[in-house]
Amino acid sequence: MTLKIKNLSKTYPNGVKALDNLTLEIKQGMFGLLGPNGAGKSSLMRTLATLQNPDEGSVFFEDIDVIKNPMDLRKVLGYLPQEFGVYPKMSAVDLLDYLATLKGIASKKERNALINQVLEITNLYDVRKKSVDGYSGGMKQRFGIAQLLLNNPKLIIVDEPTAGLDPAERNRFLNVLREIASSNIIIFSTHIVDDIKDLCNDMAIMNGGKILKKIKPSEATKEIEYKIWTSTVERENLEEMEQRFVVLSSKYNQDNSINIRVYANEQPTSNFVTVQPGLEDVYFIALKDNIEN
Amino acid sequence: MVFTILKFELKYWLRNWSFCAYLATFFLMALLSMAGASGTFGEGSASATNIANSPMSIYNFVNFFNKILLFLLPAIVGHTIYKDYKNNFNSILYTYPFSKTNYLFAKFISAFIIVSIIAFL
Repeated sequence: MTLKIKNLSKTYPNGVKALDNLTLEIKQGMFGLLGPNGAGKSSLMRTLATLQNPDEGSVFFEDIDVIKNPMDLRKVLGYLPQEFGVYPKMSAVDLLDYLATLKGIASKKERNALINQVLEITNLYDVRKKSVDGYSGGMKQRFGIAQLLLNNPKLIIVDEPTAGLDPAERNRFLNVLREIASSNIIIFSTHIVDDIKDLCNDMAIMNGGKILKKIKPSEATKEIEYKIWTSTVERENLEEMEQRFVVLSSKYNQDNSINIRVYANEQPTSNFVTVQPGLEDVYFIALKDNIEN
Repeated sequence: MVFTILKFELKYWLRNWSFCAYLATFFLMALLSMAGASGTFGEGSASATNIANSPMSIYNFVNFFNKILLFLLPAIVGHTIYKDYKNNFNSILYTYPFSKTNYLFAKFISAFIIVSIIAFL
């Protein structure tokens, strides 16, 4: 099972180039799409979910031409948009029943079984009779997962689902995602590096409508091992450091000094010590390279 | 697919209080204007030469109500689709396996039925 994206381009009427000749191949499993705000993640996801057409390029899921036959894809697609709402005053069960009928499940018995199943998976069974517009942010996101599971999708697209969730809810949500990942492709976009580290077996870093780097999270940090250095500097020296070295990130300490992480092949100065690289470093290196080029 | 959306929309409208409000308003308006014309509240416009339920005056009433009904059409037909956008539900709905034609057709027909119910009552 593969999703093949080839030379995808999209320019919005206001001149923003959201997708820039993007080529990507996604295989079975969890795929993380990492990028800053405005990188084109949502544009890519909306295109894959048949909500908008690209100017150029092609998308194939197995042998379905997504651009030409969106209806065929929709039958095997589960999509959770970045923001969504529901009709007011409708309980989860009623809404899911309607949505399941729309997804083409005609028999009432089959629908009920399916709805109970997805409510169990998403831990919403106890609140199934409450109206969905009164749910908390995390519960609503889980409801979003429940609705996308209704047609046993082969391609699942979730667009920044963890934005705005508290840590406990975020964990619960990621566990639900982990549970449903089996024999399908799940594309998961986020700007939170930890989400990907915990979850995905393949990832890509995206900015400016392009894929900057496609790599497995487990291998990503090996490449830059012994190349990440850290040191504590005073606030006044930060600018000088940024000019002299590739500073990936800087964090304030409580006493107003700054911890910086630097990417270099050799020890920059004797003050620096080497540290274990994280996925965040990989992300910042990719973004830095992109800006310099 | 058309039928599913149609059924859902009809159910939504029949449970909605604004439908009852429209229905009551129009019913009362019709009732009162006819009662007024036939002289329930003192002297009506009816007389020996001007009969309240004559074909001509009924024609005039129908004509008048047709004009007011024009306000209902956009309110109900428009809202049927607008509520998907207002509640931000469209982003989910539009990735479902049904076509634009089916969607619009079902939405329009359901709204049309609702308006017809109000009009005929």
